[in-house]
Amino acid sequence: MSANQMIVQRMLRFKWPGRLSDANFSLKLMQWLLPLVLFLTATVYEVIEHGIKRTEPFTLSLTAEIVFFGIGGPVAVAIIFGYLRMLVASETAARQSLERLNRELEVKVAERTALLAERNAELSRANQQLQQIDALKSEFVSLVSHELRAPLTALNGGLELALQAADTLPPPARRILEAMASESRRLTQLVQNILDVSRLEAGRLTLNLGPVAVAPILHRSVEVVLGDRRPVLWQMPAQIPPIWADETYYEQIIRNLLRNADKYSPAGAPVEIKVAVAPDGIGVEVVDHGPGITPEVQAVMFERFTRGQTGENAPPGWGLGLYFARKLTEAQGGRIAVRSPARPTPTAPGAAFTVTFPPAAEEPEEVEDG
Amino acid sequence: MADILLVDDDQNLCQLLSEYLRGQGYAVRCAANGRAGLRELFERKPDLVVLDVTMPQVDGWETLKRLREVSDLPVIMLTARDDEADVLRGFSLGADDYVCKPFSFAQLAARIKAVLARSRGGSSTEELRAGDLVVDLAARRVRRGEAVLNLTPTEFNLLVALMKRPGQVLTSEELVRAVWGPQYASEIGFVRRYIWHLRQKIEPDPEHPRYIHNERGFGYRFQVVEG
Repeated sequence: MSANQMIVQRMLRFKWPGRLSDANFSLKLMQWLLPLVLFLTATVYEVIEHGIKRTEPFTLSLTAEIVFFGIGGPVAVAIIFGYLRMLVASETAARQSLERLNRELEVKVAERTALLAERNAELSRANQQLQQIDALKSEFVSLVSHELRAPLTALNGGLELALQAADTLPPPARRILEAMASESRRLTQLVQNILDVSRLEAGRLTLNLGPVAVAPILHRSVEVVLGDRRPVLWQMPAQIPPIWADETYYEQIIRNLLRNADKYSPAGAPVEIKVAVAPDGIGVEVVDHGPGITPEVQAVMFERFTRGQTGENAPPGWGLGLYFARKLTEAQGGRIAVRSPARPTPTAPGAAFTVTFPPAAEEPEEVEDG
Repeated sequence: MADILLVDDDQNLCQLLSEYLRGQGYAVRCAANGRAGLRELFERKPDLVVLDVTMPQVDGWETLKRLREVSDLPVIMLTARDDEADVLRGFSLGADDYVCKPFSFAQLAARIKAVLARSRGGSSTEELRAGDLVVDLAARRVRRGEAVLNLTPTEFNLLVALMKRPGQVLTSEELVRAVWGPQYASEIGFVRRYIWHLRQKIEPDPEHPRYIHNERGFGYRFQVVEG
């Protein structure tokens, strides 16, 4: 609002008595009152003037001067005031229409706001429903996993019992039982993973963090996952500071990457393991000699139930491994990334997965205490 | 030989488990639910009860509560719910130990042995005690007084290595050998860091250690210092 407008507003707010507060009415009053006063003043003045002077011809000069001063002037004043009134009237009309538009605009804004609020409420309702469904799903998954664990216990235990006397079993029966035990262990691990994922999503997975030595975990994981089936090319500094992680889950992530590398590499091809120590984290890179991963798959591969290959020739798996690895890594303050092609060889470009964990806090300078 | 009562509604598991435990030299009886279990308990007076949590009618917690009203028999809970809250609840109701499904039979047998040894008051080889610290070697759990301490496997091994030779100084090399194996000499330089983090978890006041002491230039010594 400009300074002029403010002054006008203040003047308008000033209380004039009765209808005089109406600008239009006072102008109208002036338009008629002022010419009348001027006419009367001029007429009286001329009559007195000519009465004193007594010049001839009295009537003609009196009439001419009254007409000239008493009528011409007031008429001019009336016309000017009429013009002013017209200006004021048009200004008032413009202001009024502006005010009406403003009011309409306000109504519209209010309407739109109400509509928006309604949409928001709808959206939050839908969101709530989705959350409920998600919670239900997690609850369901957890329930199912629990229900699965009881028969698995019996299954594993039965196989354990049967294999106690493995030496006395006929070789085919023993082989079958051993294969069953291995599959049963795999199934147990899967159920455990699903349960862990649902717990992680529900924020109920308890991490047991502490300093973890990287090299022993890498060696043990390679031994368990790859055995002697595959050569491993190591690239590791002599000293790796301990990382800050949950030891069990860290090993699970490493095993997972190794299992993937094994799954997607041709027989006999080596797996490369590289460890890089940086101030902000210790990175472990697992590189395979597989067919590589397209950018489209890379974009979604850390999500649930997505897999690098599908169809009959795809290696077995559930598409949970990388999702779980990512979730677990992030929950521990680490990060996971993929790079493919890992090398320029077009026949086996391979993929490189890197998990980086923060180093464990350094101890303060030692003080003698014992 | 010890008499074990197995209370679980899963008949297959009961049958397989009793077969396994009989093979280990225990006398085993089964009960299919909490009510039958309590009845068996009064009639037979077993030495130890293995109790499943999820059962129809009277569940494991309720059975444990009623059992504790009349007896302080050792009880191992079988739970498919390894959430911390459930485990703590089990301890507060007076369970001696718990095993999460799916467990291996060998694992349960080891726990049964440990709990039986403890309940007979004999010095268990499955447990290390020093001051307030209690280390359960079979369950790999550490308590300080009432509090359960969450140690990582490495920290647990480090603590056990120290506690097994109380009062003696262990060098960093010896600790590395005990925890990771002799091939990981590269970790020697970081032993101080592991010890420092371990102290943050087990010492009531890590600045003034009560359990693990530095012997500068030599190594570390486990000894309870009162006060």
